Amino acid sequence: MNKQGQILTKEQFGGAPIERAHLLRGFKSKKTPIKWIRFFRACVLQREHANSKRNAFIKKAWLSLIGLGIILAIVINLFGLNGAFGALSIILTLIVAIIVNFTTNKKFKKNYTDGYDFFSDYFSAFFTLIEEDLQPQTRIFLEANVNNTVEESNLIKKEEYKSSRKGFLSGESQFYQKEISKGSCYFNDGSIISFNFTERIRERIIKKRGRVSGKRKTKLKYKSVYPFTIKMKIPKIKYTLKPQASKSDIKIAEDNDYFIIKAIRKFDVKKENPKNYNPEEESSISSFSVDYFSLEVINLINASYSCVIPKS
Amino acid sequence: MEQTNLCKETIGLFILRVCNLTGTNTCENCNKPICTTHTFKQKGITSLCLTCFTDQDTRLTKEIELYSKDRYIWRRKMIERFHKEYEYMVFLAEDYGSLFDITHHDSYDDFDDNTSYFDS
Repeated sequence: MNKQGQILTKEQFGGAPIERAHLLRGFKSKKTPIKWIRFFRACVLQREHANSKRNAFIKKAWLSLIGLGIILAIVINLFGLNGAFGALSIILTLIVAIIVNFTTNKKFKKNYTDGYDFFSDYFSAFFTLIEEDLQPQTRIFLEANVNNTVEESNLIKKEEYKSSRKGFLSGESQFYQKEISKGSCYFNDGSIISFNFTERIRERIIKKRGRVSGKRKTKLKYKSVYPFTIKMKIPKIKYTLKPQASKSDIKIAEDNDYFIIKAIRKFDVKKENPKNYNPEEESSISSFSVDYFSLEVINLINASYSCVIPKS
Repeated sequence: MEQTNLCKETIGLFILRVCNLTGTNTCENCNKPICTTHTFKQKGITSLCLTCFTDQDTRLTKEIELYSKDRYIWRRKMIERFHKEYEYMVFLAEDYGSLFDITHHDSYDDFDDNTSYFDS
């Protein structure tokens, strides 16, 4: 075994209070990379722990209630009462079990979100990669919003959608946009890195008539893209601008003290990994491998640094 | 004399530099002085530097836990992959000493020690 040191387990987070980040569907803080990794992992592990508890509780509730229903039916039968009362007791306990199941799931969904799995994978990797280039003991500012993107408050525009397909009745495309996260940190050469990660979703609502049944149907189809923007402020005191700096996909500006370089990488699963594209899924955020995502993001910093030369 | 006792492991992604913390161990493969952070135990016995340990570690990156000391190995593997797959811009600290002059960011408040991992 080459494994070094200890790892976190969900048991370590069993007694922790319900995370505000889960309840609020977001967070905003400044932490060192290792504390961010621990935070993301804690969010995921807390949810896993609560999920195990929920499943165990639901299983126990079903078994107990069905058992109670059967016992009641037997007792009613033993006392020679009408058989309908026995059947009624089983039906009643089944209804109670369904209600318990529903309320437990509802409470779980309110208290926990799976939105942090993404941060745990992708941002842990990104922060680990830049960790050694940060100023010693410095912290990364990060703000996140893991609320659902397809909500009225995130609607940017609506467009009519037309199709010549057989059975097509009408259609509309709705465009949503939400900033998933933004943050900033300082590199040990004095550069300031700001980043911004956005989710853009197109929801297409198609009304059509079924080919066989002729019934009216409404279909929802989605496409999502994820622009990641890096803005670097590189100190003029330490760098000069390269004369032939590539400017095709990079924007360069400057103020008195810094060269300001902006680079964008749009993650588009339909273009980059069509096999993983599913038009029925709202979000394709987890379709990219962690390694691919983190290297592509790091390459934005790389591309920004490629525009300057250090002063010796 | 002091120079030989400093950790000689290279760190950084874009601005490469030598660790330079006190070297408390020696890599049993390349005899490089290494600090406790950059000392990795192979099979719990042999002390290796990060470079030698990573060379001998056969794990895939997805098998490595980031919330552990293993993240140094993960980072080294990823940096090596980045070198191979991307046109890579690197600045060597020894060539550009001025990169490491201390820079103060007055606007950046980094002193409120509000660092509980349950902050939100």
